[in-house]
Amino acid sequence: MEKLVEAEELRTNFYTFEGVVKALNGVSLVVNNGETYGLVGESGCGKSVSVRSMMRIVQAPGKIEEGKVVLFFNEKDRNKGIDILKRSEAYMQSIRGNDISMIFQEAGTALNPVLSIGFQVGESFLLHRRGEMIKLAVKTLDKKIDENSNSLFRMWRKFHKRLLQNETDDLERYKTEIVKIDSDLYRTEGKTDSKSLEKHKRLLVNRERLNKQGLKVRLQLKTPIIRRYVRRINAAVREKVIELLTDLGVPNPGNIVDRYPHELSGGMQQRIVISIALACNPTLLIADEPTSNLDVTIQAQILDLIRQLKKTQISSVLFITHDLGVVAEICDRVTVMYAGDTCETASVKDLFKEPMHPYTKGLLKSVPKGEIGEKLQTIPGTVPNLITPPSGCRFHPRCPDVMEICKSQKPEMLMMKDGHSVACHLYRKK
Amino acid sequence: MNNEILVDIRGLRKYYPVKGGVFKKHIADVKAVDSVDLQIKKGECIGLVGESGCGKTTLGKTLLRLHDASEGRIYFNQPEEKINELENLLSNGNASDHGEIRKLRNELDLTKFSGKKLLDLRKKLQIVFQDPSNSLNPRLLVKHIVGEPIVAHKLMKGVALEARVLELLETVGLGKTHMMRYPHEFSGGQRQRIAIARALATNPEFILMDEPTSALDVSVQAQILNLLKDLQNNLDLTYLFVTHHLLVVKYITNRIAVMYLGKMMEISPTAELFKAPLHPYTKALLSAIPVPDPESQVEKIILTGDVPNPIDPPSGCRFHPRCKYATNICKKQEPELEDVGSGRKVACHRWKEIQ
Repeated sequence: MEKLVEAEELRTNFYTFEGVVKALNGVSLVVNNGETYGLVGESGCGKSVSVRSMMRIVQAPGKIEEGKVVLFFNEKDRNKGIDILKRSEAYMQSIRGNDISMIFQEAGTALNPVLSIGFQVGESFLLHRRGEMIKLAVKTLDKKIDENSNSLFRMWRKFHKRLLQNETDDLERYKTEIVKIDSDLYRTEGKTDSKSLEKHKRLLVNRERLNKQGLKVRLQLKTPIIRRYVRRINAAVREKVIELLTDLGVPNPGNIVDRYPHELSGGMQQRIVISIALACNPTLLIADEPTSNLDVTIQAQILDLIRQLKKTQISSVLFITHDLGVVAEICDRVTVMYAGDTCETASVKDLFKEPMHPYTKGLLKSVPKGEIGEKLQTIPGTVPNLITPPSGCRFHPRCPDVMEICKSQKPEMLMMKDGHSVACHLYRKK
Repeated sequence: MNNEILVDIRGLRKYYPVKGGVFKKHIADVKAVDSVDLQIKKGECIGLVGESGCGKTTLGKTLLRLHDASEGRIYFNQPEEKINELENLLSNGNASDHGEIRKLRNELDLTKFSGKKLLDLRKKLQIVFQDPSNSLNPRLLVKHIVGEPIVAHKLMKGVALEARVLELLETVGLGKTHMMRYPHEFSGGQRQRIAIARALATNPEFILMDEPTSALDVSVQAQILNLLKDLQNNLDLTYLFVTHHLLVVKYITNRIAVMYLGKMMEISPTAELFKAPLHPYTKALLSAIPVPDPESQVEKIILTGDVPNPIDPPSGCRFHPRCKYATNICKKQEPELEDVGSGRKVACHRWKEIQ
């Protein structure tokens, strides 16, 4: 299998008043092309922080200290990765929502309450697919020009077409220039001699300075009355949004686009969030607990939808959840996390059949499976405070098989058999 | 567990008025609980499941007199003969019995209680809320939180109170060191333990568990569930366990009542319900649970659409727009909750045919 995204030794800290919260303690994970990858753990174990670090959207007191996030999106050259932690913010913006997109927990708070559904879904079309949208608008304009014989209307429409053409030309110019700078940047990256460094710096400055829109377009976007041609793009976006919502099985999409989030039920809100994430056909979809606040019947609907989309549209899904039932149902491969550490990575079948890490074993035993009269086994103690995490293996204070070495030394990830690795001293070769 | 009935709910309704227009005229009702019958036996744990918005929490809170019922009777620990007498009068009585009915209802029906009688009732009925971080006062010490019901009912004072609080904390697995702390210093599981200790403070007979584990992690959830089970055995408690997590219900309850849009759909002993659900809604609900076993081959029944609006519920059987077995009769006639033997009840016209 080919790698799609790889995170290496990610370390993220949060600088709070109480102290430094060491949220991620060297997390490594690999998402392969075409798989559904699960990330499980209790709340506060760093599941969300790891994907947020991978998307570079860790919020203010948080900081990614070290590590690498390598993308292998290049179709032609799969082996050449891009370390996105080193790239500029502008580059990240072109990736977020376009190549990697994210479904957030709690759809109700992820949506903006004062913007209509149509606007929120269409936003990513306008941002990442403006060129296509303009093309669509031009197409409908062409039709109208042919139909209508009134010369005044014709003139007005032809004028709009001209303005749209301006924007397209401008986008083309921007695209060629940015690609050129990026390829130059790639060449100078990692070189240490002073000349290359100088050039690298200059290129970065140029990249930041490069305006997406030229003077002509900026003027036509700002001048009253003339700027009304933008409505033609918006109409095209609206059509595209309705098309997308229909694909996702939202009933009555023509009506929904003009509504606001509070008018919809929880399941429907989640569908809208999914449609925003899917707008630009992402290569990787990150789903951060997409079903944890929904009813079981609605959860089944949403899981079914993600499974279908996986077949038709997106190549890989990174699925975060705390529900082991959901993991068993939807994932191919799973990583179990505990207090900022990865404990175990395995295929779903292996993980449920023969868990290796003591934490995974405890977790699986504490899930009610529905044997009547069974006594649930528990993991004694609680999740540690990450400001002063336990030394060595972070699970050792709660571990039933604790040894002397666990208290002092952090276990390394050991490859046990094909695709099954575990970070525990129990399995170290003697 | 014996067959003595502790709580007897008859024809309970809870409507919330919807007002509109310039004069805030009463235009419609949200039918949160619509004519529900339920008997809870002494010492049992009965689960109440359903999707959000189906009225399960409203039913529980009406039972505790946290909401006032719109219609219907609730008898808590009343002699059976007297209940039957009153029910007979209500169904066949004429105008001359009006005074008698009123007298009996004030005596038996907890929806009509007031004053001293209501205060005594509150001691026996307690509740544990969903999210412990919202249900504990952040400005009170744990010992004050747990002792509050005792002080409110003037049961104990001073040293005795302190000793009782400590005893309560010890029953839920906390200790003396936790007494002088504030809720924010505890983890979610410990907070829920404090909430449980508070519910136990007045020696209740009946506790309403309103999704007590939905805000907790799996490993902590298991601890709390074990604790609840132990407490029930040791203190001879009766639980009404409201939740939407069906596996939790399966673990802890003896019987399960399934609600949909304010109506009871099915009441059945837990083992039988999971073995052979009768109502199509129960079937869909059970098949939708994600099973923590990657090799399970359960066929999923995926319901389309959402729960309809309870202001204007569908005609006939309320489940018919989402039911794949629905026929004409389901659209026109509302099914009764009929007894089908071995302690099971189901409200469906076609339950026999679809087995």
